[in-house]
Amino acid sequence: MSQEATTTGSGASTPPERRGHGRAAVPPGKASAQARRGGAPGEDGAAGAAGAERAEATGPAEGSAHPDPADASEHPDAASSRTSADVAVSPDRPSPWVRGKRVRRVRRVRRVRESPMGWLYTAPALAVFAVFTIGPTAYTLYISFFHWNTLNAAMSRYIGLANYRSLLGHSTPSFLTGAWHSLYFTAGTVIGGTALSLALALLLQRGGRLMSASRVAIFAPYATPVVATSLAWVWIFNPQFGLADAVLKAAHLPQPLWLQSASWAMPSVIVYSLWHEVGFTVVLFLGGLAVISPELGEAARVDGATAWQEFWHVTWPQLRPVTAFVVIITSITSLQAFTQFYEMSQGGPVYATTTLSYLVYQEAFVFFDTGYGAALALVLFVVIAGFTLLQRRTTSRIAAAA
Amino acid sequence: MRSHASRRRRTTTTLLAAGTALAATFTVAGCGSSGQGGTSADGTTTITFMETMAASTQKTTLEQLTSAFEKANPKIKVKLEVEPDYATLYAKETAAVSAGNAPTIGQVYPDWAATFAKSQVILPVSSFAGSSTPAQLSGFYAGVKNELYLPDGKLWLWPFNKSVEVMFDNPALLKAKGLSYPTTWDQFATVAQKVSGGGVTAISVDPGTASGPGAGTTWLETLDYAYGGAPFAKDGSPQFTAPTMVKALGYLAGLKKSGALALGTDYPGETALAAKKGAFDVSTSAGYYYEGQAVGGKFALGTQDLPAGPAGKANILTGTDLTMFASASKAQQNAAWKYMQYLTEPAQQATWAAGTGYLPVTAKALPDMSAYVSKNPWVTGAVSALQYAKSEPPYGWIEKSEGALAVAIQDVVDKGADPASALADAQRTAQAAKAAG
Repeated sequence: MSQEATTTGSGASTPPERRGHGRAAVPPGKASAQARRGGAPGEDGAAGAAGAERAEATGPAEGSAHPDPADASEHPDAASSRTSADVAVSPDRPSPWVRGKRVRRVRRVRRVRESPMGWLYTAPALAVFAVFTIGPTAYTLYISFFHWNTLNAAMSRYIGLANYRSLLGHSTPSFLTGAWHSLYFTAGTVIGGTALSLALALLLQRGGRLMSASRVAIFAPYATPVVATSLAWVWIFNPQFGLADAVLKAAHLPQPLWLQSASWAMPSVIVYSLWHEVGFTVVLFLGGLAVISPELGEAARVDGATAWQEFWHVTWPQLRPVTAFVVIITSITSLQAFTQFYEMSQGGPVYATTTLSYLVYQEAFVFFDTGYGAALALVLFVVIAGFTLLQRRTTSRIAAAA
Repeated sequence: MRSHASRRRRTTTTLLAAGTALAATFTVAGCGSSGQGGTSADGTTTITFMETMAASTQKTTLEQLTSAFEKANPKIKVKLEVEPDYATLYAKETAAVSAGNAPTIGQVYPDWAATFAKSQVILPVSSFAGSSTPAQLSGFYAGVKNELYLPDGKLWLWPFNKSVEVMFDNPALLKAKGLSYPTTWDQFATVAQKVSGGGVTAISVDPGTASGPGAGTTWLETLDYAYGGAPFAKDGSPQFTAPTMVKALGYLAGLKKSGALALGTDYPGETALAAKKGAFDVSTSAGYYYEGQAVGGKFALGTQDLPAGPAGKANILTGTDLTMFASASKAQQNAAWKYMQYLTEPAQQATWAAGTGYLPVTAKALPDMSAYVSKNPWVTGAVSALQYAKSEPPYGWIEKSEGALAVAIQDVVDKGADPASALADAQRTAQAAKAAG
């Protein structure tokens, strides 16, 4: 799909008055940044022209007269520079009076932020966060340095980093085995879930009564409790009485042992997880599809693009921010997934479904090796946090590119 | 200016954190001080009993016995705290002790009791019974009595729900193929192979997982005993690489190879037997009512003694005992001890056994349950197994070690691994568990 077609499509749909507004509102320092994000339409120079082209391509949401509210909140000075008073005095260089006003306003905002009253207002949320998240996390870190006696804390023994050193040496199974299983599950649900939900969303966006019913049917599993539906799927996967085997048998296909097989147990849990979770990500993609510009697709079709070319070069690029969000959310929930493993396979057979989350539970709450379990939990926390930060950074780049 | 602002922020944050911590402390303290049970103003002592008799006749029979006890002892109130399964029970007991809110008494396996005793959170029987050989003790079956002692030689436990392994079968299915119930494990392998096929797999078991060994693992241990071995030495050392254990696991692999064994979860043997897709189910006598419910009159359910091995008859004592938690007040200890003795009296044991499928812990109960025994002749054989049934030594690492055995079963039966190699892995895991204590 060509850039030419993209520009043509957008240019036809964007109202001129919206594209032309806001020029004077951009201070010099902000201009280059905005140009990188999509540009200030009408700005002189190459960067501005290129930015304008991209801004038109993405529609009025970016690079238009409507400032990014996130930017406004993060940079109050930038936000205040977009007032009509500034425009009247000087679009390029505010007067000392304006600068003084801006400084006073910034100070006022800071005072509000630093006021004890602010702390008072946030105290309930902070208290809940401190008691249920920060406190337990700090306590987990503390416990991880001990051979912890859950029954009688006074009999606990400080062992330094020994719990962390034994992460690789444990055999029920080792941390690395658990990490590999987590990665396997995450890859299956992220790649499979994203592809499947995108495909379903493309199918369902066509509308109609049947499609509406299908939307409800696809979303319904997401609203069901994992603990109940995973038990139902245990029976679906039952090698002797299960529906899955009955279907395969009817089709004269080989029947795996599903949850009883070390090779098939993880794919079975992935299939269940996709069934349960895909409704949510389909809704996200449907939301994304609802706001993308239909004119771009029309233009592509006019230019002779096939359905696949239209999807690959026009539709999906516009869905990149949604895709990135889906990938992040699915990755985090997959790394934290526990209930389906607890209900369907209990980490077996032969540790085949012992993910890091399950391993933490097993060590801390079955074997009551609490110190080691705490060390595992901390490492899992760091892995998820690192993964999330990495993906956030990647997402920002993708969003900027889109 | 900057340092002043940040100091003010720090002060505010510290105050908020301190306030939050204080509020949390009061909240936790408030929760902890309630529900301890004890003696009320009118002299009624309340004791709490954490147990797993959550369903079927087990629940109703325990409630019936407890109600009768309260009626006979109006100054004692027994609060039953029911948990859905043993894993939850252990987690709840541990959490309750950890939170300083332990029940008065609870069901425990001997290896749990060993962990509790090591952490000084339970009491030896002598501390509340006034004797290390209470009157009823001599009347218990030998296998039952042996299990009540921990390695320090002290009596820590009191028997509660005891059972042994039995074999449930579908006699009609065997008869249709001209077969009868085998008396040795070698014969069992032959019969199992012959009865399998055409949608029938002779026996299905759940070996459990690393975090929870199941009935299949108990069966493997029973086979080990039947071949003359023992999964653990008296000091709790695992003996998984012994030839008897290798042979026992090889026996299961052979059954699988001949199409006579399937692994599953959620009582697969019971389900298959009831659906006429299985001929046998190895389970405990406590499963008697559940098996009957599952079969639902579709055929006459058979209940048999386990076949014998080269070393003769072997069985494993299953079920839990009772222990007294150290936080109980003196009044609660006295009341709970009265209740514990009441439950093991012959009349109550007869009611308990007939109502639940568990076995009476004393032979003195048999005359009171003659009608039940004549209707269920298998009880006689099962009760006699209480004399020779083995118990695993009571150490904290036993369950984790048995979990390693469960993994070995899966590795061999499902993945076709070599039994000796799989058991060597299990041995390493068990030894590590023992070393960690």
